[in-house]
Amino acid sequence: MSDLVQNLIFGFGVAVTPQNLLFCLIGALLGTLVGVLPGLGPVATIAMLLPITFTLPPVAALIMLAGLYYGAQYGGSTTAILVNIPGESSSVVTCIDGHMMARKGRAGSALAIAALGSFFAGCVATAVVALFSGPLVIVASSFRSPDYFGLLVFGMVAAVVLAQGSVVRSVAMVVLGLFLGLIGTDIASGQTRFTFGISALADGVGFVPVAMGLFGIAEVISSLERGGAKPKVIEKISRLWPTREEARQAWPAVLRGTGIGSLLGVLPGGGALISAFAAYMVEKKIAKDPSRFGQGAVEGVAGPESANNAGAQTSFIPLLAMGIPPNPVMALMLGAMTIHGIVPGPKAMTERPDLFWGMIASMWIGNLMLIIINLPLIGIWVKFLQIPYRWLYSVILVFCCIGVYTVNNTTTDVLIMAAFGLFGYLLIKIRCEPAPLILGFILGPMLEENFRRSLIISRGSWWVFLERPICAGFLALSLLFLIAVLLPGIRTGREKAFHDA
Amino acid sequence: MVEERKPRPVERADLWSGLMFAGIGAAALWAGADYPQGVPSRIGPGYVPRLLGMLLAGIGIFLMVRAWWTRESIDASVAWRPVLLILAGVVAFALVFDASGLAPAILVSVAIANFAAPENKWTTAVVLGAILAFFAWALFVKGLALPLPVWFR
Repeated sequence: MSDLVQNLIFGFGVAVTPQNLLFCLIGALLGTLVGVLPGLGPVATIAMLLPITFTLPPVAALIMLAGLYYGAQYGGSTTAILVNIPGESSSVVTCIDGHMMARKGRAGSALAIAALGSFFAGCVATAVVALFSGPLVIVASSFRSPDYFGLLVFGMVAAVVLAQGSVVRSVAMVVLGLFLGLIGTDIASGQTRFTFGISALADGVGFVPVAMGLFGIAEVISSLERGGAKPKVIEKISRLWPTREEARQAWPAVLRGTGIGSLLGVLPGGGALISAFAAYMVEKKIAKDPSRFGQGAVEGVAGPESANNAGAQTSFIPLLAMGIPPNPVMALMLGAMTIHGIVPGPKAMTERPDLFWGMIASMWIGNLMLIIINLPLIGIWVKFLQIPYRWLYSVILVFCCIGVYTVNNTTTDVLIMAAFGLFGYLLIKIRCEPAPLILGFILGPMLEENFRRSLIISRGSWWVFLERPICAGFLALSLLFLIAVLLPGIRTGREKAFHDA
Repeated sequence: MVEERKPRPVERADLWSGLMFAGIGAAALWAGADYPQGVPSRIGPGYVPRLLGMLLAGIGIFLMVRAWWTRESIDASVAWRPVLLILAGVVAFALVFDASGLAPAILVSVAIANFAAPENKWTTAVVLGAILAFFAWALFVKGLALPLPVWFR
């Protein structure tokens, strides 16, 4: 325990240097902006900002990017409540009751509850990250290749189960992502695979152009198709403080949302989005009078908004402790770390404690900044909301192009981004979720590597995956998940959950 | 001019996605047929691709079969205007950038993509392009000192 306190004090020492404070603030501001603006998400923004981080010291860069992700969770609720459009995908459920509250003249309380709930959740989640990453590192350092293989399989299965839409199609998307990860030169044999003689593909397809194509470009096209260029109606804010009655209703929901988010954030495939959905479902289920939901129920804002912020932060745990990114945003963080020559995982924590504890301490500071940015300064963000999308999308486009180009200084990546933009639009059309594909893409090389090593250890016997308890446990759990989600009863329940929310 | 877009619902989301997955799986099996398989204790570069190819093709076929009785509808209309103009804007950025640098690339790219939204005018393209080109130069080249060619090397 005293170790933890010492580490945290050390972390705060790192985080409060003027430079790191400045970048924490920049991250929080940008995050709020990205959150407020619909059609621009944290994945695309972090990818756009990667070139900026080249010139920064690693700690400052990661503090800024982390702030951007949880900052987006604060900003997303503003748009959801005032305009009834999710500023961020994780704020989809906040639209339902948050906007209803705004229509009934309680926009101010909805905003305040969302921000205060997020702040509380952020503080708790920061503590969770600090408490659990350390022990997890010790566990992870005893993992061998088969165990990592099992964990990776479990991660992908969890991502499928937690994704929206058809389970079978999501499995196919993961496999497709694994394939994309194979493109390029095989490290073990030097054989080039699926490059079709194109020399630019010899190093593989970059993660940034794929992610930017699927999440940036495809999203722009899809927003324009849905008429995103039309002007928006923004509700007025009256009194920026909840009533005693509202606060009484909100508190228990904030607590539950924080718990749900902290738990689901750690799961592979988890993060902000799924946490918000789960929290809304739970609130609706345990409410004495479920019919209030959809009519402006305070819990329908407090629960999901706390959960998405908690989930955003605890999703750092698997990345920091094991080096495994649970969602696309964390995969970009992994990319950012790699640019600076840091390999996250058990070793990084002991070799770069400044990075690890500095980032954790910065999360708490960042949340404190965000509550100020989002409550007293709410008027500024409403101004940003008035920027019409028909101007905004060109800005997004240009920054995507520059961001992708600067990662490797080649326009080939810009063309790859265009191709994946088209593919992403096709996927939206045939209702396939891009998130499982991205996860398979990131985890693919790790999966093959650990699969190969496991078979070397066992001299070619597949039993190795069942002999080690950790690996067998993960595989059994994966199988259980898959069977459960395909069972008719649970399946309809799952579909209903996503449908309701 | 404002176009009203009518959704064109088509049933059988499973059939189309199944076709796509089966096709990609089959293509991958074919393209990866020559990669050495190795032995189980030392798997070659073709081992995992073949496993994944069979898995993907299998799932694709399963989806196509399942499409006989599933009736999930998808919107089969294509918003050609944003699709073509946005993609053309990105491709133009790449081509013009290589030929003449950052500022022309931004101007040309915005000039094309701008018309993806029907209500945008030429003035929007020019003003927005100029602002973005200046801002990108100030931020990336002056501010962050990234080695980007700005104007006709």
